[in-house]
Amino acid sequence: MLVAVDIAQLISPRIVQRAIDYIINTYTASGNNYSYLGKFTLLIFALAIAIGIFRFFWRMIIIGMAHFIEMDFKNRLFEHLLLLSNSFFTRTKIGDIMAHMTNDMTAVRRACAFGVIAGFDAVFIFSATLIFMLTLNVKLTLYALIPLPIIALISLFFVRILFRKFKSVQESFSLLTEKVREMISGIKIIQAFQQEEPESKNFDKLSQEYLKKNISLIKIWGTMFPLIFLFAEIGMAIILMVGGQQVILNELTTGELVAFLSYMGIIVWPMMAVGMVTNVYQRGNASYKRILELLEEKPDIYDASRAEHHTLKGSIKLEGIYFSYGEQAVLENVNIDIKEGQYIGICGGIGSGKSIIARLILRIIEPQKGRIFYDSIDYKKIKIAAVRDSIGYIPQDSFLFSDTIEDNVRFGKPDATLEEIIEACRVASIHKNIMELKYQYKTVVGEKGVTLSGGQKQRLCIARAIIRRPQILILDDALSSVDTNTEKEIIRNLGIYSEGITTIVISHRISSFIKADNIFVLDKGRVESSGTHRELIKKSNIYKSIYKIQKLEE
Amino acid sequence: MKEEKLYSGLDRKIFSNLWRYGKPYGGKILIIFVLILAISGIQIVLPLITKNVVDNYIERSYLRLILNDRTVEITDRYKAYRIKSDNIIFIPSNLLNKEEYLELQKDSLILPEKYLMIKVEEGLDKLKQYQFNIVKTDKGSFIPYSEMQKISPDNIKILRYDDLKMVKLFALLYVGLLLVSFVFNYLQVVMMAVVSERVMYDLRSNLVRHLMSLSLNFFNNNPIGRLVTRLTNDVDALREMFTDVFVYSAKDFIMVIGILIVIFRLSSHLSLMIFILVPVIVIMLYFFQKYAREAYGKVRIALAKVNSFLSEAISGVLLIQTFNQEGRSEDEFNKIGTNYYNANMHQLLIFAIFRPLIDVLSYFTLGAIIYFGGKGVLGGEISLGVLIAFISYIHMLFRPIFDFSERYNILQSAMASSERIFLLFDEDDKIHSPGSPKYPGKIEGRVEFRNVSFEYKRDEKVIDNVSFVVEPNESVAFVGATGAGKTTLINLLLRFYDPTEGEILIDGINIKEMDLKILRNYFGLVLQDVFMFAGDIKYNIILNNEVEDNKMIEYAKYVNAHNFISKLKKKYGNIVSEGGSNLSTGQRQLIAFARALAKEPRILILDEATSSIDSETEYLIQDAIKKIMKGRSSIAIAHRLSTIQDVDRIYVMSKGKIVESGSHSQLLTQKGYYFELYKFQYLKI
Repeated sequence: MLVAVDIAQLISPRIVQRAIDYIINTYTASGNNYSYLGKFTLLIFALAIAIGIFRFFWRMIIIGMAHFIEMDFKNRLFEHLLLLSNSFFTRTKIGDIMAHMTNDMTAVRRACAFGVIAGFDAVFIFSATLIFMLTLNVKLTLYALIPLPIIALISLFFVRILFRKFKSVQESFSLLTEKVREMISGIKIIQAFQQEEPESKNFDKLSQEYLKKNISLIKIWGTMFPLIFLFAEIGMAIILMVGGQQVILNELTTGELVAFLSYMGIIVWPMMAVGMVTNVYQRGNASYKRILELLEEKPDIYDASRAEHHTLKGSIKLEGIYFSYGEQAVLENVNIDIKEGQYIGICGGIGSGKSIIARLILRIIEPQKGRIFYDSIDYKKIKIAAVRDSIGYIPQDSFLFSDTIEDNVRFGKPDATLEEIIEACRVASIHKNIMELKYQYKTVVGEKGVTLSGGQKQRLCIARAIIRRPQILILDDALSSVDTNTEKEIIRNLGIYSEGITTIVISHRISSFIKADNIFVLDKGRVESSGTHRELIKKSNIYKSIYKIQKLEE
Repeated sequence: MKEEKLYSGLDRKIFSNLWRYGKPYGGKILIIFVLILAISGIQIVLPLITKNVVDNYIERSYLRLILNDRTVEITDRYKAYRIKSDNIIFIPSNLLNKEEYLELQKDSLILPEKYLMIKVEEGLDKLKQYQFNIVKTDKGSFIPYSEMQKISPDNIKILRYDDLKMVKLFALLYVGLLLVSFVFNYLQVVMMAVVSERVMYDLRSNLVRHLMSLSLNFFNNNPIGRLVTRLTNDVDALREMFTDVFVYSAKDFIMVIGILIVIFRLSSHLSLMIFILVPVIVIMLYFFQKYAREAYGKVRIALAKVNSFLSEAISGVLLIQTFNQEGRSEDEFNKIGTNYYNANMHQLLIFAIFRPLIDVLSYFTLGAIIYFGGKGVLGGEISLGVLIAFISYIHMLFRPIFDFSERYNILQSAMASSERIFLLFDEDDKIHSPGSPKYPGKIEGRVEFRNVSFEYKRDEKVIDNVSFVVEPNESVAFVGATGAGKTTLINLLLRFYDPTEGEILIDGINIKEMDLKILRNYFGLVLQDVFMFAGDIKYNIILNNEVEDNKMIEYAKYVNAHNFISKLKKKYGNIVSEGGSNLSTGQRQLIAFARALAKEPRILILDEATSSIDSETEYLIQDAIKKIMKGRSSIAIAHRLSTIQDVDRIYVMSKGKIVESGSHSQLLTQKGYYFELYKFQYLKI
């Protein structure tokens, strides 16, 4: 189709040429036959419509395909990302992933659309125009072609410089961005030390640098395009000069001269495209490679080949667990035995390793040494999905999506009815608060909607977990922002609700698990002691001390 | 501040704001416009040169009229060009108007042949070998065009020597004009770049200062990424509008007007054809911009959805995985992605219709011009050159219309960006320095809180009726659980926030009545998380102030930082990496002490780091704290109670209130909250 458009485009100067020669000849012969003239016009009209239709379709098809490829690629990458492990996300910045998903994808799409169209167009138009020109007049064609290689060379040469300059502009831009980011994150120090003006001056310096880089880029830009046009137009001048003389010498007709001028206008563009296409292609290729790299990332936690599906009943055993981040040991020889349906407390200070235990049970991370048993089955023999399906997890950071309250709770159970959601929210002692909001369960939370208090968020997270009706419930420091009275209420509700469910409460607040069947006190990555509240008050100094302080705080 | 707000229309205010920034460069902008005028002029003149060459040198022809009263009468108007001999009149073929031509043609007063005039006498000899009826007049000889075919090129060269020379000459003129245009173009682009870059520089410079003056409250309410975008990408989008939209629109406008004038003068009749097109194009553009805007809005919104979904999904990936919701997230993403794809296809459709439509229109115009123009040439109404010029002008006329569609998107996003930028300028969440500040009689460093209460959010009291006094050179410490309100006290004291109730006095003056600079000059601040600037260690100690090196080293030695710094490869010139990650927490802490000390503050404020530090550095820190507290008032927020055993007074805070106070030993004997805290920590160490 592209070919059709190109040919149609190339035919039109031919018609114009015929028409003009006809005009001249008729003129000379003085036989006024306007209808013949009309034929040319109709021919051009027909051609116009054909070009229009073809162009519409190829645009839709090729660019549409490119968009489709982008979408498909994005979906594949997203699916892949969700497979990757925690370690990947801790070492990769969100900004970088986003850049792959946006800028790199755009570059690939552009290479697909523009690269293909322009590349093909350039090659085809060039050769076709050349043939048309040669059949018209060889001598004039050769003259007219003189500036073309120069244009191609300019294009290639400058695009390379442009690319380099562009990169340095971008580097300068990211320095500027970093500076702003620093100034905003350090605003407190800047204002306290009254560094607003001097820091703004430092920013100005970077801004100045960016300005210079930009101007130097535009200078290249400002030379390249006018230079290309200059040589293109010089081609026109050559045609005018040589062709004009040829017409006088009867070697060329006036119509042919006009056609040549038109062809010159057409053939210039492929020359310009040479540079642009190589550039777009190079960038697209670089981006494509970056995306592939991401796609080649392997998750480090995955199902063993012999893993089977198993519905957890609720007993968990951690045996000789050793876990470290790099050199630093977080857990050392930890043994925890949790029986089906037990209410378990895990307490300890900051850095005691208590949150790691939740992650291990959820199989977000894997121990370097030791084993985990679910219902006395080695963890490697059970599918990860099966484990996670049986657990209701309430994370420390109480992460919610920018979505309605209803849908945030439904996240735990996609097919939940509104009644189920309300029931879960009742258990989590958040229902009343929700009903006080203007849009109730339809209230959007997060950046785009209302901001909930820390305690409210935590309670929503609890609702989201319990709606799953899991066999194991894990609260990872999930009541820290809830006031003591509400905490008591939630604990009471959970007590009723989680009858027969294994409940693991990880907290620095003893009140959360004072009635627990078993409490593990963690200190510096080891289980310092375990037992019920009463037992621990007697045997653990750490536990006793924490308890006293918390008593006083109330 | 809403993020994805779409620009609502051409806002006057935005333009007037922009103009304010452009004004200082008015002179340069004027020169740029003169250059644009010149460039456009040259571009418009170029087809005229072609026309001139065709008409006057290539297709230079004469009509042969039969001499009678009527023909003399008609041609009298063109006396200067008319050549009369005994029974013939020769007249350049492009002179007669339509009526005259038709009249003469009807009466068979025009001979069908066109004639070429030959001035060169010696050429005539050459022609003798051909059997022509050459018509000789006193001004030159005339040969019928049809006969020219018989003459060999070599002879034509002689016959039409002048014409050939003139063609060459005009081709050179053409090139000359091109060179001038090239130079002008370069100058214009570079000048425009300089002006627009300067404007953006000014804008950024003002914006960053404005931002720095805003209150902490503002920064807590606005995500950092959004603010960074304002200063970076949004300003860049604005520049695109400045260069691409303004300049090129001006250029296109001038070109279109210029071309319309020229073609009207060339042939008012034929140009009517094009004038009829104007309303058609305007209507098309109107519809295009209407649909394009809608489509663009949809694409933007869809893209924003894709991006926000993505970044949220990546931040919440742990949750998605632990809830086994990968499949559902994928479905959701597919849905949002498809929506984006559809929006893109919709936009593509509009462009795919518009662009070829304009194309078709331009070809139709070409066809029409050939028909009517051809008729005109045949009717003697216009010359062939005019027709050729018209064909060139059609191409030139349609180019800006194509560009319009490309530029429209830039305009859209730039308008949205500038709207957001100027909205940020309007932001006035500041702590204002009083108009007529009070000055303390003597700078001593006495701090007093009088019944101070504070809430970040309504009805959530973080500080509840707190009163205390720190006498000059006294040291006090605050202890308590996280969330007890200790850090808020400091935020209030430095006037990052103003108390909801009560007042804070320094040296007897309410800090609200004190000049903000003088107030903040009192303090040396050490924060829990030491903020490190990207730069070397020296910069992180003295910041942008002028402090002599030996003085700086003195400070560093005093706070026990010199030792580790001098062990670094480049010592004080060592670069601190992003966030200071190449330094340990303890080392950062020591640098922060030196930084605070370099200010030689009257009041030292210390928010101790919570994270654990190795015991050797810990000792250095404890020692440094003792030293820097000497000789000035100091307020410390302590997490390690060992730090503060020597302070004059300790306040124990809980839930925004002071619950206990006294010296370390007094508090221990009380056996209250402090006692338990102490015991707990003692046990752990």
